[in-house]
Amino acid sequence: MPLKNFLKKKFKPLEGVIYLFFYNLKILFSGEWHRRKMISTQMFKQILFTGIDALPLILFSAFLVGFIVIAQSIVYLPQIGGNEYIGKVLAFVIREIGPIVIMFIIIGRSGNAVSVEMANMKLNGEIFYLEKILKIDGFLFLMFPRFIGFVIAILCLSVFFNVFTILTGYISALFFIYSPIGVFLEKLLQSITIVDMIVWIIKILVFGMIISLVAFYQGVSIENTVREVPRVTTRCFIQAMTYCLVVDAVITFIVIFI
Amino acid sequence: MKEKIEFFFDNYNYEFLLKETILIVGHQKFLNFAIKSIKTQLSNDWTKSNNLFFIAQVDKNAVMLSNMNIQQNMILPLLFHKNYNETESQKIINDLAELFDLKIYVNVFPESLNIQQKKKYSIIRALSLQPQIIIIDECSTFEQSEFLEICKKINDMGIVVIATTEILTLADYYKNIIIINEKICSH
Repeated sequence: MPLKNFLKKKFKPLEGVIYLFFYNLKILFSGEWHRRKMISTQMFKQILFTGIDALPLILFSAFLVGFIVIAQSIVYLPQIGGNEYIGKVLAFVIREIGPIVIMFIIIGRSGNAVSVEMANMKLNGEIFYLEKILKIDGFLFLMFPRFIGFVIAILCLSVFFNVFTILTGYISALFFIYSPIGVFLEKLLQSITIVDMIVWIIKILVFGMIISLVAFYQGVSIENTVREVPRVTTRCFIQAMTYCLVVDAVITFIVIFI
Repeated sequence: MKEKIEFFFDNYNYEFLLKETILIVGHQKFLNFAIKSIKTQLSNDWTKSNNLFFIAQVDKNAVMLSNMNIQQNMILPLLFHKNYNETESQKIINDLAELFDLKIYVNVFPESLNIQQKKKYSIIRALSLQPQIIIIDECSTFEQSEFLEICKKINDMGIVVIATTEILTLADYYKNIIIINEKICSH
C-alpha cells in the first residue's frame, strides 16, 4: 500500500506505528532498498544527523550522568559498607539509565525534527509529488532510511554513552577518593552479565524503532495547516516517550520475572 | 460530464498528433478528469515495460523536494527508475538545462526559483525520462510566446505536448485545441 493510501486509511496512532513497523520489515527483507543507491545515501545522511551530530550532546550528558551517579556511588557506597554494590550500580546505569537518557535526547532532537520535516513535506505537497508524479514509494524513500538510520545511530550513541559515563564517573570519583582502576574494572566486569547486555541492546533498538516510526507517523498525519505543526511535534514527543517507557517497563518486568 | 470526458479521451486518436502540441481548455475540475482519462487510456505506469505510450507529467505547482537542490531533484527519477549512475544522470540533466538556458541554477535550492523557472525544471525532469507524451498542467504560468518556444523544442525531440489551461483566449495560439465545458468536449 503506498503512502497516499496509508494516509487515506486514517489509522489510530498505535495501529499506524505497528503497520509502519511491519512495512519497514517488508522493505528490509525484500532487498529493494539495497538495489537503489539513493536509499543508502539517505540512510547515511540520517545516521549523520541523528548519530554523529548528536554525539557532543550525548557525551556531555554521559559526563553528567557519570559524575552524578557513578562518582557518588564510588564515594558514598564504601562509607556505608556497600562496596560490593558499585558494580551493580554500573550495570544499572548501562541497562536502565543510559537508554532512557538517550531516548529523551533523540526524541527531542531528531524525532521532532523528522516529524516537522514530514509535516512540512506533506503540507507543501512534496509527498504527493513524490508518489504521484515521480512514482517513488514514499515509504521506501522517506521512511525506511530514517527507520534504519535511527536504529543504527541510537545503538552507536548508546555505546559511546556507556563507555563515556563509566570513564567520566571513575575519573570524577578520583577527585574525592582513590580507587584503583583495576579494582573498578574488575567490579564492572563481575557485575555486568550477558543478560544485562542483551537487555540493553534490545531496549535501545526498540527505542530507536519506536522514535523513528512515531515521528514519521505523526509528521505525515498532519491534516491541513501550518498551525498543526507544533501540535504534531508535541504529539510526537509524548507518544514516543510513552511507548518507549511502556516498552521499557515491559522488558524490565520480563527480566525480573525470568 | 465525467463519463463524457472519459469517453472522448478513450476514443481520441493520439497517434495522429505525434510531434504536435495539443491545448486542452476548460475548468480545472474537467481538466483533472481529462488528464486522468488520458493517463488511464495511454497507461501512465512508466515503471512497467508494457506501455502503449510513456507519459511524463508536469504538475501545475511544479513542486520539488525542498531538502534537495535542483540537480538532486532532477536526477532523482533517473536514479530511481532508470538505473543510471549519478554522473550519467547529471550529464542528461545538464544537457537539457543548457537547451532551456537554465544551467546556472542547477545547484540552488527550489525555494530560490520563481514558478516559471521551477516549471521549466519540471519540464526538464520530465524530458529526462524520455517520454513520448508530456502533459503540462496549467500552461498559463508561462508567457505564451515563451511557452510556444518550449513546445517547439519539445516537439522537435519527437514528443507530443499536452498542455492544459483554464484561459480560453490562449486557444488563439494553438492549432490542436480540445475544449471542455459543462456540455461539450470537442476537438
